[in-house]
Amino acid sequence: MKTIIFAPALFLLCAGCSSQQPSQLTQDQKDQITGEIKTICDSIVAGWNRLDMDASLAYYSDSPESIHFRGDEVALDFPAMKKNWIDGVPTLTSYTWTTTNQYYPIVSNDVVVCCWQGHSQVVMKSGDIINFKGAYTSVFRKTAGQWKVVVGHESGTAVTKKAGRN
Amino acid sequence: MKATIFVSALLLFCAGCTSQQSEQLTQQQVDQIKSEVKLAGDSLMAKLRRLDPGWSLYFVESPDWKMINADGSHNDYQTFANSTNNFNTSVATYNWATTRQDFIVAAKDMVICSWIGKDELTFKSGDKMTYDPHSYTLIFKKIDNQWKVFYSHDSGVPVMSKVGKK
Repeated sequence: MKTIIFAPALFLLCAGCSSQQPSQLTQDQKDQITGEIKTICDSIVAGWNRLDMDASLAYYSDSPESIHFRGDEVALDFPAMKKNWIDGVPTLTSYTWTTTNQYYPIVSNDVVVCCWQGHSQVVMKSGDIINFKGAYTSVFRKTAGQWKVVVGHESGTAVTKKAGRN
Repeated sequence: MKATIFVSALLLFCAGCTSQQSEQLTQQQVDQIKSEVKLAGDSLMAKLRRLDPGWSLYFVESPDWKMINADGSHNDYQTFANSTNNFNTSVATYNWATTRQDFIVAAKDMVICSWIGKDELTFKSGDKMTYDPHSYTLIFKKIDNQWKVFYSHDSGVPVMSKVGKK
């Protein structure tokens, strides 16, 4: 009898605890994960558009594995990326990012990629206007129940219209 | 007795399932996976340096396929496949030097690679193009025991050197 009870329990243990790959997740689970990431991505963009970098940075991991690529720059760790964002705010009048395409490949049940494509307009306090068209890749890892960006990658092309020039 | 065994099995089930991802992999397994992916990446770059058309076989068509380019544009798989032919016929030499490579093992068959380096292409026309730095975020998936890229995002600023111009 003990064996009869133990064997199904052991089967349940093995079946339930094997690492869940995307193909093993149910559609409901995938939809749930996608919904969670989409909400966070929208919050990050909303923070940018309010120039409230602290609000956006709250969704970024400060772990040593964090790495961020910005165009032509070398890789930045979280503290350098944070400084870059915070230091930039006083030079800006407004920032507006518009997403034209986004999707969320699920790598595993605790790692998800958010891919945004779109364009932004940055109005500098100097009067310069920068129009950027490009894409962001954000790799989220779920740690202690929270989704945080551990890899950020930006690329695109920027055109600067200097103040006072038509 | 039945209840005791069942409760014990249930506790074991719950405890075992609180973390289902890469934490389940031992450090030895994680190191092994990283070395496999590093080897796959090195083999890809070695084939590119030799202008061996087999380099493109390290990329795989997938429902989650995405290739974001340094200018922010993106290629679907067919566009990428067509561009490989153009690369193979128009490039005379290719060199890549790695400056940094980091891996996030998301699951036993999914790895995110952050790869930074410098590359230089010489076209058959004599023109040269360099990226320094050139950064990649690649997602590798193990398919049929081989590591393949289904997601690529790169960034960098290309510097062109036209033949006959200084």
